[in-house]
Amino acid sequence: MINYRNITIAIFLALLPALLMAQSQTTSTAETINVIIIEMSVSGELNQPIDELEMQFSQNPFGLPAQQNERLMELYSEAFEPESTLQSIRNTFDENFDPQHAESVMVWLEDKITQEVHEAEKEFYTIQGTRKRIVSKYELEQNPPEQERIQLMQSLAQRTSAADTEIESRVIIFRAMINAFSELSPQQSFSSSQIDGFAQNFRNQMKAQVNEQVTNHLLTKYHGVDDSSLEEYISFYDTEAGQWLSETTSESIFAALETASEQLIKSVSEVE
Amino acid sequence: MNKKSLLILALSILFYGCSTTEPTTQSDPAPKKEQQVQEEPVDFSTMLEPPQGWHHLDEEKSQFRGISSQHAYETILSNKSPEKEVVVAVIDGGVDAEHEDLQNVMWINEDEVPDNGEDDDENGYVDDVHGWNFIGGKDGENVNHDTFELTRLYEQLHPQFSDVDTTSLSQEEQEQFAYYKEIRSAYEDKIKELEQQYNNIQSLEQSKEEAEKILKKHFADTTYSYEDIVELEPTNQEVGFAKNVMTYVLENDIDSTLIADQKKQIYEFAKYGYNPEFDPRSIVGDNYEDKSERVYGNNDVAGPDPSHGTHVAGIIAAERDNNLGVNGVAINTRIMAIRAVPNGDERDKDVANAIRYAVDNGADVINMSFGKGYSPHKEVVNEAIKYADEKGVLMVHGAGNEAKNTDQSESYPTDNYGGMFSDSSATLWLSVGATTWKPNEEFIANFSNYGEETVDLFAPGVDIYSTMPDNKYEFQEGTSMASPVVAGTAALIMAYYPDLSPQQIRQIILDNVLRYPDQQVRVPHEGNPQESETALFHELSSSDGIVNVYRALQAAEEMSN
Repeated sequence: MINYRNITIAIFLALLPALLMAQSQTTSTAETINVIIIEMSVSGELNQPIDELEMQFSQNPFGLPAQQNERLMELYSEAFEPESTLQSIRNTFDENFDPQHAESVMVWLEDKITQEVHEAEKEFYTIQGTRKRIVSKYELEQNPPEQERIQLMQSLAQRTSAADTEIESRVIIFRAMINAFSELSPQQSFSSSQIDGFAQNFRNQMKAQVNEQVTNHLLTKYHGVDDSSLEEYISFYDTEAGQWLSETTSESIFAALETASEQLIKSVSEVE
Repeated sequence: MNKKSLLILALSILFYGCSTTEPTTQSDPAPKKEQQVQEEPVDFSTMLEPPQGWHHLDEEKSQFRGISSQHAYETILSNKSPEKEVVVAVIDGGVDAEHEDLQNVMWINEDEVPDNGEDDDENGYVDDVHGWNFIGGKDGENVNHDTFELTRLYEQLHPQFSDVDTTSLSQEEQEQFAYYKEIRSAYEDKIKELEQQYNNIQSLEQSKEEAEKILKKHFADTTYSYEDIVELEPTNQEVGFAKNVMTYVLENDIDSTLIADQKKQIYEFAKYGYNPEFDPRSIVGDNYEDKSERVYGNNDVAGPDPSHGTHVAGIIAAERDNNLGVNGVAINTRIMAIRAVPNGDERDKDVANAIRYAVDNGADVINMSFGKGYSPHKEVVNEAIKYADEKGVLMVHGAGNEAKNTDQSESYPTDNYGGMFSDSSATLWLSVGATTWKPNEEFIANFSNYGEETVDLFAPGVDIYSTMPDNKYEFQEGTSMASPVVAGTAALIMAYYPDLSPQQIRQIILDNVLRYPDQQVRVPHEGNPQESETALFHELSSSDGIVNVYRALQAAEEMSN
């Protein structure tokens, strides 16, 4: 009788190195993704529209009864909870992972100039960064930058699709909130096509101003970074790895927001 | 719903986050004439601005809920002369002692030879002719901006506790850690709030510009009034948007100057007030850790920005009937200027020393139009307040502009000097909230703190016209303005009835407030004003009323006879 147990063990032992390598590849992929997400401040970029719109909606612009708006904002916080949106980001990076591009990104991340720019970004999303943001905005208004500096920011915006990300991330959240309002309002309710209409309106309004807004945003974010460092930094986005990074980052932000939005709509529909 | 609508709705959350030292400033280059006796009913529902000096008016004669001081001067005081010169110390950010309407009412330290570099009267302060400046250095340099107390606490605790291993903390350290978390949370909330305010103002500015363009086109380049806007029936979304925005702008008297001022204020809060790396204290050159140190500073009572203190001083005692400027509430009153309040939060050591200076140099009343939410060295201020109380100096304090109930959340300094284990409090203390000129639900200023136990009374504190540096005059608002109305009232009574004790004068003021037992008012509310509750006016202070000079003087006259 053939000893099946022995054959099984033999096959297992034969496959073991491959299995181990696959596992370490997965671990290494996860680590690489984590490093990229952290160094690129993807969470910070994601949380900006979330926090901004949370501030606006907490003022109850829809005129819901106070208690309902409070409940809505609780559900909003739960749905857009940082750890779960971060996981969504990781998942998207994982799905789109390209080892070759990722390796190029990792090398680029080690570069001194890249680190300088990323330090500015990381600080931008801290509480002191928020404070300094106000200072920079005002100072930039009082002493507008040179045209070359503005063009540099426009170039960066274009290469990273910052304008599209800015618009779409807000439209996703806005749409979810209109849905939620429609569900909760005792007086008003909107059909899907009406909600689409509102979202499209919002998108159009944003498009009219987004380029200037994004440029101002980048001027503020990189207020302390000189032109030559930024020029070198931007050049990476002309490479295939840079494009992969930009596309995957945007996609991960949209996916995280969509998932959170769906969660919000579901939670609201369950409110009695 | 579109972005513009969202922006418009965002306008409703705009509030001007003024501390008592940073009131909203509105400049009016064309002041209105003083209101004559009103026979025609005043339409308060459409009136956008009150007459200049409305706070002096009498309601029966003019329909404006002023303090009846003008009526008092025309009647009770018309055949009397003041019997005493009263000194009111203004502890503030500085006073322009050379203002045309203040120069003749500044306190002069007669025992001091001006500018000889000597401490002639040996009170510890050199050349303190009009008062003293506790936030300046010997070399003449002055503190202008300083941090907020919250920032100082954050800066002190954050390095210690931000990365701490909480499992290894002692019981005492656990408590400190809990306090740190509270401070950190409050600090972070403030920063986020500040950013939101700046974004709101930017949105407002952009919306206003857009609305103006639309309306210019709609009205074919002709000028339009508030009534034109109100009556406008929009035929499209664009004009509807413009109408909403401009209605809000005109009703709230928002112009480019106001927007620019607010942006600058927020910028300065971010750059200095909430910046934990900013520390201007070295300018003063004192041993800051020694809270018992008394002598430091310089004699520059104006400092770099005397706007707030000058306005306060004018309310109290701007020279009356000199065909110039404004009339103070009081007459025969001298202003002792004591600089202790920067653009930021005052420091406990300086507040304590300012109070002591006032007492030791003969002040009868101390006006304190400042406050803060944290007082880490409250004990030194407590000692100074107790000292002033024991020496018979009446202290008048603005309740604060945070739209909060101070029965639940204190605005320092307070009259309670007993500390944790005692109820001791100053007997010569008055905490003042602010009222408006509107005799309806909007009677209480929407920013004013209130408190059935901790706010003693109310006084006019909205659209108060008074002196500003360089011989200018402006409208301002805040409990900063309400407090000196009461300080001036106290000084006036003291000037005419010097035999009454400060305790009696305090009681006279409180017993003779004007009450409105059935007046429903909107309770000031930090968030959306639309969500504020209503209450009866008398529930918001311990005296149930608003100061009235005429009634107080009548009572003083009676008590003196």
